[in-house]
Amino acid sequence: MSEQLSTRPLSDPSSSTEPYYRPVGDEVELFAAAYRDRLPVMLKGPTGCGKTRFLEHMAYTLRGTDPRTATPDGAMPLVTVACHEELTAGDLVGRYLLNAQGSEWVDGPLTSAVKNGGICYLDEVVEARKDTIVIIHSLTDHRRILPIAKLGVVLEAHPDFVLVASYNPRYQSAIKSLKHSTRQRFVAIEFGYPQEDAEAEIICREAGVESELGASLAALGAKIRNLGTGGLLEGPSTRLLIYAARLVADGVSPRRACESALTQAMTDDPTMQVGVREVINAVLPR
Amino acid sequence: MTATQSPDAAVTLIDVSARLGSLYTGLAGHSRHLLPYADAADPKQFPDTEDTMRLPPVANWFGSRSANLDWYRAAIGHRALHDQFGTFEFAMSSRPTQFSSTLADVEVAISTEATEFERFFSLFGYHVLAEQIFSVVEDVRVEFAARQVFRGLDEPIAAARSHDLSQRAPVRDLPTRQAFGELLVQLSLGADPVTVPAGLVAAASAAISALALIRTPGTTVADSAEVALRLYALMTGLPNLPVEGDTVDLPTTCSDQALPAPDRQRWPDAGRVRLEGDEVLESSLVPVSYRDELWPRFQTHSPATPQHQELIYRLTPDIWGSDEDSLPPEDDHHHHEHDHDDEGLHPIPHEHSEPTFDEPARAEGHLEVDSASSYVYDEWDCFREEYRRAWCRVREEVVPGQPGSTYYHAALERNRDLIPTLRRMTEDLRPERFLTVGRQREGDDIDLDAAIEAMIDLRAGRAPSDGLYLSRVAQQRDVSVAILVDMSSSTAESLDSTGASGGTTPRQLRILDVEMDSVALLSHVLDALHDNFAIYGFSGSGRAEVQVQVFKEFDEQLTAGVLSRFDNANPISGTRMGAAIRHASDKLSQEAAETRILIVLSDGRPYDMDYGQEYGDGLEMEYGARDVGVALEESHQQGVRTFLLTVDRDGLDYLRDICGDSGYEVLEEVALLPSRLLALYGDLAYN
Repeated sequence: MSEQLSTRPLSDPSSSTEPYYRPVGDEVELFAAAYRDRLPVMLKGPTGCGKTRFLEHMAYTLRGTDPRTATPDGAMPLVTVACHEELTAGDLVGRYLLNAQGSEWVDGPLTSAVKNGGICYLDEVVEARKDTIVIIHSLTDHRRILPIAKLGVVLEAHPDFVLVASYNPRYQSAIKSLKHSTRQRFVAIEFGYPQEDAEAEIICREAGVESELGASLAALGAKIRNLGTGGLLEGPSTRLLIYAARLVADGVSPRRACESALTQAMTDDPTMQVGVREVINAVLPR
Repeated sequence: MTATQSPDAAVTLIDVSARLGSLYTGLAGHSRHLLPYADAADPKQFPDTEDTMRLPPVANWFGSRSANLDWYRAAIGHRALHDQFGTFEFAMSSRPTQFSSTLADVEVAISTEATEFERFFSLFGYHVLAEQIFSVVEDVRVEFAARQVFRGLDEPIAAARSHDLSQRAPVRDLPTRQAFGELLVQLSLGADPVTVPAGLVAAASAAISALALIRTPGTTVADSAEVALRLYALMTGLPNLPVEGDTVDLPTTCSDQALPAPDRQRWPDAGRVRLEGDEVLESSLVPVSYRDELWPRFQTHSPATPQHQELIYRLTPDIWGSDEDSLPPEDDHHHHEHDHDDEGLHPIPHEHSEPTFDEPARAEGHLEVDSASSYVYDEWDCFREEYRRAWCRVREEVVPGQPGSTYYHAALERNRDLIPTLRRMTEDLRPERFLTVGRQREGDDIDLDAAIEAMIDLRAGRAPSDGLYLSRVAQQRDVSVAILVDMSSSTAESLDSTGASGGTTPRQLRILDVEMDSVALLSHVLDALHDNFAIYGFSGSGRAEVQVQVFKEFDEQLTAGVLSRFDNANPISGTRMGAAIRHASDKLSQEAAETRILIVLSDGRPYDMDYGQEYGDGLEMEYGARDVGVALEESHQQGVRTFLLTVDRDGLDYLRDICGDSGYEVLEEVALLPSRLLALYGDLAYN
């Protein structure tokens, strides 16, 4: 049985409508300015605080110099690479693959973005091996070139190409950190979880819930994040709070929704689960 | 408290301390140690402090476990409310929301170093009473505010209030002033109606008005201070005599009795002369069981630091087993024995009784090994700018273990908050070196040999292998690390010095405990990573008796027997750090590892009984520090990376000199040691 799969190019933003993003500072203006100057940008912030949504929003609103760069919706193409410790230079640049006729070169996502323009987004860049990340160096200074030794070529970046990377400073282990030679090639924009009122607004907007529930969940998020200093890796992301709100909107009791979307999602440690549960039960009524 | 219920319903604090600790941290935004009352019969003996909370060891006054657990929740929640709603952010200059201010206009004749609370309470003649009244008002305010934010605490707090209310003395049975104080407390617990003597109705109505005012949304601690000020004036204006006559049931919901303004002629009353016999008029408020006593936090305390301990140590020579007679006379003859030309600094020769060697060596002060587990090291004399050869004798001793040891696991439990960090470290501390391996399913390059074989297989009609690529795979680490723990006497200092002066509690952590906790946690990680490591403790009782205690050697596994040695970590005496570093580095340099690391945990300056004192008072500090600096340099020359982590807040003064720009860190808080040590290891071993 053949199955009809819904596919879209890697460089298409996920939505044909403007992705919702609520600015919490001057990050929109800052990113736009950086893009005008084609400066590489580093987005720093904890998991689920809105870095990727922000970039989708910016890709949707920014316009390049070459009309051929844009997607059918007029947005900037956005190529996202989820970095991990097994990510190699070949995964980014491309590699020869064997086929029946011999070998064939296939561009990686970075090469594709360098050739065609758009935003190449290296998500959680610190997870990638250091020997992998050095290949972006020549793209992130005045040269804006990508040497591909296996092809014997040097690609000049498309005028609309820009590199964006993200990482989560809190999550970094003692041994995982960006080399200074890498981090000092980016303009950095720092993200945090929104203030309670802003986060409440985001929860209400994204989950379609009443303001009272949004405010309670935002307050709860702030309280659980206090446990971070006591060992939890990170408190609940805005994304998880939105999930909890959606469950409540769908009829699940608030405490049960938080158990599922927050406690169980955040940690498997029984001790920590008990602690999170205590905070939830203090904030939400019985 | 009374009304003890069935043992099955009892909840012990130790069983629920983890969850209650999380509850407090979550609501308050910071953590505090949770300890049982040392003496349940006298909770005031060890009141709460900024860092500690004390609660009854067992809650058993309700008929179910859940209700008793809720009582603990109410108690913890109430404490967190004070942090959440700004009790301790009080400032005299803050403007209240419900009053045209009086406090902000008052000039207080008190030291400018006094805290805001001290300035405020200095206004009152009976400051203890004022503190109690303020506490009750503030309790009312924060519990009211909590109903908007912490709705899950409503039921536990209501149950705790109800229980406490049922235990209170009837207001009608008390002298007037005492009755008024009790009335305030009962009103704060939600009593409605209150039964008061007829003569107290006016004052009671005013109190009801005052507490209704403080229950207005948006009130601040400044409002509580204003209300407390007025209630104090009202209460101290009452005669402290029995009231005769009928009682009246006064509803608490509908009072429009105006709260009298304080008498400006009498106010502030700090200068009031306390008359003889005045104390019979003193009143106090009986505390509420689930609420904390706030008064200790209205005062400032300066706990003794490790340096104080060290100072005491230095000033009590008897502890060292020596006396004045053992010191040589400071005559000029000795001062000129050595060829030294700067600033008149000359060592005063020692006469130690220990050396038993040949006379020339003895004359030079050289020491020799005298057992299989003793080692002799040089020491750097910065004033003579030369080594003192064979100057220190290190005695190495394996710490005895004991069956039924608990320390190691208790340390992990005590630091359970860091367990996720430990896990993450063990997951994340992956090798960063790679080998190129062929015949992989994925990789950056085609493995030509594999590709050719695959083509041959294809043409021969065989199924080819799919391992056609070259890939880079991780290589194992090669690290040896020695951890050297300061076990000097100053590490005996309790961290809980604000808890109670001179008192003992079931478990007061010492600096050494925190050091050993840190080592236990790091051991946990190192063991999981299969990294090669050793743990040594060190101290000194003079140059001939430098103790190095072995908790774990490089070639030992972290067995139960090795772990049991943690139970016997005890403070010894001085901090002969240079010799200990030389010894540990020597042992490290015998390890065939590519990366060798020495981590020194310390709580204070290098200091021992004959560690440069001969140059005069004060110069021994420089002598010891310089020796450590040279010892570290020797370690580097042996290929050992060193890091000195100290909780001595004055550490920057000397570590900068002896360690240069890197290789040391001064922690502001001892409690940070475990987490910092873990992070540090990652940095040292993998960067």
